[in-house]
Amino acid sequence: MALWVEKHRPASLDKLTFHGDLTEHLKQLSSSGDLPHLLVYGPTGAGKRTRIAAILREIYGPGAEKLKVSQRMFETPSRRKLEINLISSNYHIEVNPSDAGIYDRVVIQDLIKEIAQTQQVATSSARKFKVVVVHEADALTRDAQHALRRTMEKYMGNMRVILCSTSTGKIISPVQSRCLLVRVAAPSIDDVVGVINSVAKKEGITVPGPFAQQLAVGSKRNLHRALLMLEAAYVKEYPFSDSHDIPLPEWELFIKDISRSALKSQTPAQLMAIRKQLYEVLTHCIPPTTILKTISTHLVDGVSEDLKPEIVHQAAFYEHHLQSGQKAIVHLEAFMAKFMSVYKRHQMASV
Amino acid sequence: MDYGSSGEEIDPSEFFGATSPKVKPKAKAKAAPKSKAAAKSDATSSAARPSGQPVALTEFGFPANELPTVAPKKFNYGMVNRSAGGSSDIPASVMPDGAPNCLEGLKFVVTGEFSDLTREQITDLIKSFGGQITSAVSGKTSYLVVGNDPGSSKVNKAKSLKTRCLYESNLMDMIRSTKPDAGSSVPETEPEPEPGNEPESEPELVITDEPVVKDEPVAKSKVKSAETQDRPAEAISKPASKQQSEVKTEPVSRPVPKPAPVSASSASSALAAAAQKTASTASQAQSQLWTEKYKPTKLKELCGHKTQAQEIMKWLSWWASGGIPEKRSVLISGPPGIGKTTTAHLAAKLSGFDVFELNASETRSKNTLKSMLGAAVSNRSVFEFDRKALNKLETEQEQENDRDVTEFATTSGAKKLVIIMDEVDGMSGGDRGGSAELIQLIKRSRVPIICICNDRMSPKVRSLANYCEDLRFRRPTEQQMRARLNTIAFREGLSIEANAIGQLVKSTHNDIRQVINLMSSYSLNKGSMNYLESKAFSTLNRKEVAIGPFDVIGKYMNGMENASMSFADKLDLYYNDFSITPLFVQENYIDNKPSAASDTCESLEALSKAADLIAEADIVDNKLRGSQQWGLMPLHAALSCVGPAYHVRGSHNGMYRFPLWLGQNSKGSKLSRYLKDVQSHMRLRVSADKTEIRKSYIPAMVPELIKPLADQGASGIPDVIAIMDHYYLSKDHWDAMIELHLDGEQMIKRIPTAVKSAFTREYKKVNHPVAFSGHAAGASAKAVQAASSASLRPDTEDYIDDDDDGLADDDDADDDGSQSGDTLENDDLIATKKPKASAKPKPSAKAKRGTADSASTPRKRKKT
Repeated sequence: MALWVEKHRPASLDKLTFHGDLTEHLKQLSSSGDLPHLLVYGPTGAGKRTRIAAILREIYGPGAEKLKVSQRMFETPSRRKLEINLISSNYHIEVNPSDAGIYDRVVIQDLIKEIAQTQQVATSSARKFKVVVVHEADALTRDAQHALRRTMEKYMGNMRVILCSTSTGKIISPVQSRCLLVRVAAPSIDDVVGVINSVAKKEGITVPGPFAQQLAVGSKRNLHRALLMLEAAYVKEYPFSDSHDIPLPEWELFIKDISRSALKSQTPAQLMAIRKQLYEVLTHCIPPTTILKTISTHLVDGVSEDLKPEIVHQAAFYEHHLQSGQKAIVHLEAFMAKFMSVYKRHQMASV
Repeated sequence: MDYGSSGEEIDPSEFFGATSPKVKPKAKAKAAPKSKAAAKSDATSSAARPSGQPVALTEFGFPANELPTVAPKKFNYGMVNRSAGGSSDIPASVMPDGAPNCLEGLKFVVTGEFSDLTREQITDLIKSFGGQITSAVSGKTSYLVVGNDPGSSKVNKAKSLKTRCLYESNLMDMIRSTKPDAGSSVPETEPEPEPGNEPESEPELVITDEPVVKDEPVAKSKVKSAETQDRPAEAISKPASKQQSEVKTEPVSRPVPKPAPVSASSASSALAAAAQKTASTASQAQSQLWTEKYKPTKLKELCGHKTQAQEIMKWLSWWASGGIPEKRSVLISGPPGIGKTTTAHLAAKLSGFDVFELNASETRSKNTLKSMLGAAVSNRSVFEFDRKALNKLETEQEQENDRDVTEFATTSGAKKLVIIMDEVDGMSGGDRGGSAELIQLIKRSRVPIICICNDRMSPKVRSLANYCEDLRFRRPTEQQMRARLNTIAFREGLSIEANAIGQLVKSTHNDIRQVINLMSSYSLNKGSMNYLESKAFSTLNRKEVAIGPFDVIGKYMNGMENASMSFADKLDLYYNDFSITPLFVQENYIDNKPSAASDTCESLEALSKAADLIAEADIVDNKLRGSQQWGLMPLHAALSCVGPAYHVRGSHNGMYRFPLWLGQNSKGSKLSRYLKDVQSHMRLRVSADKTEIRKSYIPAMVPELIKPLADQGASGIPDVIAIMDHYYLSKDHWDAMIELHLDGEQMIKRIPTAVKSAFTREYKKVNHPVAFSGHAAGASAKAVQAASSASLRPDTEDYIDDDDDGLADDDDADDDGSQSGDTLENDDLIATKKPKASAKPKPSAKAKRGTADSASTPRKRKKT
């Protein structure tokens, strides 16, 4: 009883449906017997991890799919204990060092070195090296990235690193230069529609063309989300009509509400109410950047033309602050306060 | 008590003042149209001035109805702020000459802004000449001092009451008019004499007034200790009252040398005078602190607390009469320096009790307390028995008790004993168990025990308080302290202005001990203190009082209070608690109604500015803590508190709230921990990262986890469990995911309670696949550590082992736990994977389970 998005995930490079050139390229890489360090980057839901898994399978065979989760304890120099989840097969290990927060350097140093210093003994393995997959590599601190750069060269014989991130912006250039950059772009609308149709076919349901199109657009070309939305829509109501409502995630509706109330009235009391709502979304683990982006999109839709550039400018400004700050609420609130005062002033002037 | 007034009368510096109260400020004097010039001509005859002048002083300025009408307007905080922040020193060039205390008895109200001086300086100026400042115009107000932009309400009130008004220049003239002729003398309390005056006045002063100066208390410069030692005897014989009576004879014409440096010409006579004066008090003053010397010895000498003292005495009289009151102890609490210990001692003394005091200087651990007091509290006083019994008891006591107590008990004579436990809230660290032992002692004590503490609410004291009569001491008011302080000042020959005492009391937050100490140390250098000097001196010795965050936020947000503080003051407020104060500001700034804003638009702008500063402060805070750059703290203070408060200061609706951020933050981190946990379990099936799980999977999955239960009831349970098993999710994860969903709580209400509990039961019945291999997260930390170091030994065997296992048992993870356990019975690590002991990490109560698991694991292993 798996979700469709998992059920119909292509397991091998052959079964990938879009980015044909890239697939071809990856095939050649993995069949060549050697593999460079990889830095796979691209937006979420584009298929980065699917491709990484496919590469691993291509290299090591089905054994790479037998995953297990384990927990490991790390000790920081300040004697603080960290628990990190590791996902591993016999051939590779996946870590998410950002779980360790600012101590990710310790994880990188201890774990990767340890693996790198250990030679692959299993005779059945096709390769001499093991692979370390580092997820959310853009969340690595600078220290951790520096710890990584020497390790990557030194233990090249035993280990390959695959970094997976949404952009290369936060990866320091020494690390970038040691990797082969693999960009996995978001699938085009047509790609997404194609995937939706093939899934629908396998599941034996019919998805009207316009609805599939709508899903692709509504998911913002995020394949994960498109398929999950399809399934959620299916659970809710079937058969689909042409103009079927696409089920937006609940947080998006919630945030839409926030922007609506900000547009409706601009008073200190309203700001207070908005703060409560913002807290609500934030505590439910929606990343603040997403919140700010969603709110500003809706706000821009709701204001007159001449105010739009101002709103976008402010959104960008507070987004920047948000990145260098710590308490997200403070920045979101400042943005909302700014919007309210600008909008109110604008309305007063136009009356 | 009565000294206060008598001191004023005879104190030469207060001479003018002493006469002025007789003159009603509002009295219609005959000399009404006396102009400035007239006053000056009068001033040549010094004898006439005391009677004539105050009358003239009430007739300065002009009637209020001559003032232009002032429309009500917003309070200009910017202006006030500027004046509040300005330096408080009055420049010498503007400072008018005037007779000391020439304004005594007059009440002033100041309004508006002034051109030469700031408002605060005007206030200081009036106070330094003995005038009183009140905040609102009333019938008793003598003058309204009007500046630019006067407050409308004050002006209107003044008009209706026909109060006389002064402009700044009028005020200056008024003060100058009182100035005695430059030739005759220099007023002793003149704070900033113009340099030109000094040379001409000083020689005269020395020649004409030598006999008086000799006894002048002001000239007491104790620095000359050499002379002091030479001539002690005759000086001591000269009592203070005699000096004063001498002074009384010639109060007006007696000028006084400049307090600080004695000029060359007058040096010899001043030295002689100083030596005499010093010697008179030397023997006592040098051996004792003033606080000791003037410790109250009678009930009426106490400053405040009289009722409390009487209560203690009443309570002690219970004991004295042989009874035992219900509460065997009294807990005195109150801020430092207000005379708690003194009162306790005094009450004990007056009730005829002997005092045995234990304070923080002694170790007061459980054992020492027991040995020192144990015997004392449990024995009836030995003297209650007859001689025979006493002897017998004494020998017994000596055998079993600590020597100290016995000695003490025997030497205490026929008197009763009271134990004073001072500074009980200071019992900590070394005083292990002392507090508990004290409670035990109190429970069975046969001796009164008085406990004294500062902080009644500290956890250490709270338990003690249950066994004690509660007696709270408040800070004595200025009035209560004034008389006593005057007495002390008089006895020590320190002449001090009435306003100066007020200033000292205010600056020390009514700490009488500190005021006395301040006076004592001040008297080492100078013999008299006027208002300005006391202000300068008390700022130097300012007492910092920590205030709670709710008071801090009040000071920031309230328009008036905010305006009355300088920038530095506001920065200081932040340091009361630099971690919580910014949060308080952040929490409460929206609710504040900025007084500077006239409409919603402006208040939104003010809010936005405040929010921007808070946001910037957050960035600074991140740097500050992230890279330990604590030097950024003042900047953080300015951005996080002072700035936002400046923008939104005004009135506040309702109570100040405790920062929500703390709760929200911990809720957020709890949920993100859940999310991490859910993600790590789903990881085997789902490739997405945490954010993606939250943003895409949870909205899609939660309805699927709830809908079958809500729609189909119990028959939907297998469907849900199937999904959960596929993703290795436990029941706890089910709860966690619903909590992570924004509408989760709404949706879960649709499931009938019966179905919910059936679901829980059903889930527990069957075994579920486990994502985690190896050791459990739930095991105790030690076990995990051992296990983890074992499993991650760079040992290739592990890999081979697992490999074999993988081959033998293809879909191991999906299989029943027990089956795989059988094939792996030798493996210690995998044993914990056994069905029920499957130590999946629970999102909640992880720690609690930890102990249970580690306890149960060994048993399970034995079974295999």
